[in-house]
Amino acid sequence: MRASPLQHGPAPRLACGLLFLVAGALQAASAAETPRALLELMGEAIGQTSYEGTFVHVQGDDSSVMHVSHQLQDGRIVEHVSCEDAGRELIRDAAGVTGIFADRRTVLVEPRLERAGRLHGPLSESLADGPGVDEGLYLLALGPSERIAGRDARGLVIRPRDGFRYGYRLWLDRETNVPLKTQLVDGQGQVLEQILFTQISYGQKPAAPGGQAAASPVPAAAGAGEAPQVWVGEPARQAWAAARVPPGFRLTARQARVPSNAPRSLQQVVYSDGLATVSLFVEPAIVAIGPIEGWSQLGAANAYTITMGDHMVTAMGEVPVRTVRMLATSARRLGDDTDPR
Amino acid sequence: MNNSLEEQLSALLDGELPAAELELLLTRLDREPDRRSTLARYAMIGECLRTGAAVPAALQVAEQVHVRLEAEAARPGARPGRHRFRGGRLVAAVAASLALVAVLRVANGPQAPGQQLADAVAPGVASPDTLAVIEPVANVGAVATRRLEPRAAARLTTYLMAHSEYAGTISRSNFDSRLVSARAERASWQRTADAADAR
Repeated sequence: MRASPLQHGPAPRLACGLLFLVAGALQAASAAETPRALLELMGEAIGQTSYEGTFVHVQGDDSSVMHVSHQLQDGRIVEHVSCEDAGRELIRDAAGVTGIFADRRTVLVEPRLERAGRLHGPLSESLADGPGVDEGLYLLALGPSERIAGRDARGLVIRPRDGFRYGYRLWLDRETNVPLKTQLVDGQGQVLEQILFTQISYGQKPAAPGGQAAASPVPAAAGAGEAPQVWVGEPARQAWAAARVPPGFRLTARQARVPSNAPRSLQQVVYSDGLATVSLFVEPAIVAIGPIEGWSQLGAANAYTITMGDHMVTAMGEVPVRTVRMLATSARRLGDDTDPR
Repeated sequence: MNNSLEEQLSALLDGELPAAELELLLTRLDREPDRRSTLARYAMIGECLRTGAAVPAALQVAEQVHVRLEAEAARPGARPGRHRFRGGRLVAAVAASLALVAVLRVANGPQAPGQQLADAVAPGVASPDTLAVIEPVANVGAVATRRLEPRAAARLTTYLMAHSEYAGTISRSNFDSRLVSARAERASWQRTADAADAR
């Protein structure tokens, strides 16, 4: 029996193939439009795209115009942020972060640390940010699109599910996935801080999907699913940690350092819920720096400082004050169950 | 700011600055980089707040400046690199200033944000995108009452810088902005956290 051309001819095969292609393309497009996929694309874009632009940073009545140069050089991002009004600039590169504060005639240097053979940096973190967001802690959703700095931007909403963390509204460039507008919002949706690009120009574009990325993906040192490590430092008996942390936060990094502008050792313990991070700083109490105990606000970031015996403990992060207060007030030396206060 | 410079900026805002004077103004501001962005920003904010309708006009001026500088750069014998850079930075500063104006108007004005923005962005404006949907930003600093002493603020700056290395992609820009805008030095502080419980 001869086969029917309708079943085995070239035209149906072509139609079938096209159907699969279209279905595949639609599925891919649909997947790319999910909030999580957008977060991942944003992380890749920030790690692989060169751009230069001007943005406005607004918090309360305080606002500043800044210039940013974000360049991919030798597989790594070198970023330079400057504010003419304040006479300050910040440079992030493979060596670390350097703050040039002309207004204070001060240069602060924060060297980047090699951690277990991996270089920690903006790129590695950016690649892990998307998958690191726990949807049990944050609700992810698509937001409204906007035109920003002359470009189409699609909205993305990250809403906290409790009062221990803030959320974000992001608008990503539809072509490049670079965030053109970022709002830090509290649980009630109130905008606490905002960054808005008014002009942006691109250099090197992200590598095509499936192509070779400009830099190899490296898991984040502070990302989810990685055990905390001690890189430099203090004997275990000197190590500090928070006895109580909000749901979802866990210890992700620990290091001892000597700040460039202080002769004393400073211990930093980092907690993360996959998106928000809080650092716990512990150092010998210094009377000379004046009163600092209590709650400090640095824009929408919060810090809480408390004296524990002969140590000063400060928790700092882009989180509500209740979170930093919980970490600071529950800080203990490891293996020491007594309250050192 | 002396009168001459003020008059030139005012004329720039009104779109009435002759091309020759525009070049002189840019040269002058170029010689005083510390004043350049401040002068432009405050002059424009003041103008916009006074008139309530100058936002689109200022945007148009920005476009005019851009067009003139581009034309100048294209002129035979011109120094395109220098002009292009300066013009680009000025246009960017103007656009950023106008975004600030929109923020201030939205945050402080009696009208609803949507209405204010609708008022601010007139039809036919060259670059209304800059003003798209800017929401009021809460003044969270109003809760705390005191400023930290300089040494304590310097300590927090050190912490801020150390912490920023661990901040994720989304929040790192905020931390960088706080560092560069000297936010730690202007940190609000209160000894007890009782008021903080309300947040």
